Amino acid sequence: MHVNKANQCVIKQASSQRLIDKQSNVNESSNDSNTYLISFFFVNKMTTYFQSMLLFLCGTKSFADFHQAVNWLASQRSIKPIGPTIPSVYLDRQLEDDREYGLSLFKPNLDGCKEWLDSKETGSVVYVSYGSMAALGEEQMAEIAWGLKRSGCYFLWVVRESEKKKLPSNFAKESSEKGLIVTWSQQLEVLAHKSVGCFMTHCGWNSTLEALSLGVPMVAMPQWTDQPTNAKYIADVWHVGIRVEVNQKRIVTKEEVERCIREVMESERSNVIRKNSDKWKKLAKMAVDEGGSSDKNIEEFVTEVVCKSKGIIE
Amino acid sequence: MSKSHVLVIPYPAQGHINPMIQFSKRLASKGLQVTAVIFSSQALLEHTQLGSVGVVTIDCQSHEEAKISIDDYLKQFQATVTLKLRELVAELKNSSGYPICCLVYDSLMPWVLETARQLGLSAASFFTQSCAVDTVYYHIHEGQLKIPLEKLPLTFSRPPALEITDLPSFVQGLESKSEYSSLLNLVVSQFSNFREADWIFVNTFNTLEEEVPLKISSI
Repeated sequence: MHVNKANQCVIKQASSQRLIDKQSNVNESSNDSNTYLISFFFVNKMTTYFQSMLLFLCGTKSFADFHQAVNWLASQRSIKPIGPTIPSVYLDRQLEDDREYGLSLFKPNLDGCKEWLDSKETGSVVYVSYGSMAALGEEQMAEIAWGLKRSGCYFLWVVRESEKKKLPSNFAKESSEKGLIVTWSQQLEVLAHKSVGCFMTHCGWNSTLEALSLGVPMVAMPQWTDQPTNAKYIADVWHVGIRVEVNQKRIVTKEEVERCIREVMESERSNVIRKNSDKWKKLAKMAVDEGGSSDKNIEEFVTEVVCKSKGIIE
Repeated sequence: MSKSHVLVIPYPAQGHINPMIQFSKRLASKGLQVTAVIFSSQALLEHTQLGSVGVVTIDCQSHEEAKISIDDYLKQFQATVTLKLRELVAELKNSSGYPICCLVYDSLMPWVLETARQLGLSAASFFTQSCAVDTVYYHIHEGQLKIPLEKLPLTFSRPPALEITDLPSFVQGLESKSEYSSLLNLVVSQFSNFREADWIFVNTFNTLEEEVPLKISSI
């Protein structure tokens, strides 16, 4: 059914939308022509840049450069944001049965997790997870453990089976009233739970998008790869959390863990963070909901694939 | 009427599988036939169907299982995937009745583009990380940023300026581990041929990263 619809409207839809995009944005970008040669991700501005590039061709002193850039841009269909790629039930609900990702390298530990969260007050639990790959040192694990304890908050901590041996030996016993440690979780279900007030995260991009999409404030504790940059944006651009500081030994101390949790959970600043988190939650949903920017990009791709495969367009 | 059939190929790590599987579901909901192929020694699914998305698992060792250097592993991985993809595309043509017309591949596997072209298929590169991070890698690929970085912070046309601790770990140059240079090569290689892909997708949304800096002004 979708394919039929796609076939009928493809040329009209794709070309008219592009024209609108181009026209409405030309002014905004035409003052910055040098940007084109070195910019990569203009996100939704791709077609705009192409258009303004063409407009600039007449007046440029370096035709060869621009010609090259135009060729490059012309060869690009477009760079399309299509996220956040969160199961639909947590966002727009367009896909009714889409509750989980469905392909997990780890088996979630569901034993009592939901019941435990259910028994806690709204916004009172710190959810802690460092994702599927990061391996923390023993000293760091201990600092996190005692930091959680010092915060006085309830906590649900994901410690993968391979990491468990790094926990302080007496910790599980000493924190049993406040904490629950699991080997893997249904993270979305946890983040969507009303009891969770904060997500202490390694800032992997998927975790970051999940927290943003579900409106959960973050304590950002990046480990490696892209995570430091994500943490920077979480704290200083989107203002949806705060970032831990590491000491000279590159360790986040228990005092720092406690400070950050308190800051996100109970300080004056936490209201601002919470408000921003709510804002991004709405915007994330809008993007993937019917007619939203990501939804339109996906739709456009589908129509183009169908047309290409049927030889309607090259 | 026959459906258009796309093959989605994530890099076999959880953080890459998740977004590409979700993208697959969205494509299927809009009318495409979608098969996702997971190169793993673990069968992540008992069935061959995840909702409306077909899932094929092809046996392939992970880096941890292979116990060889990252560089050697990536070479081996590329060879395996390249060979098996051809077989799979041929097989799906016969078994599903809907021949594959497009390969949607993880941007960490840019060499899939060559296979697509050889098979006469269109190709889409899928970036699973943020635009902000990709922008940094892009500038390294283009030679506009050199590691180790000489001038910090990196200032862009828009804030934030990035200090050393704000940069992806492979770029910070603080680690002496040889695996970091292998991984840096890997993430930078995402841009080796991206201009030739028919489509480029990024797992983000417009409002979130519309203010991501478009250029580095202080190099």
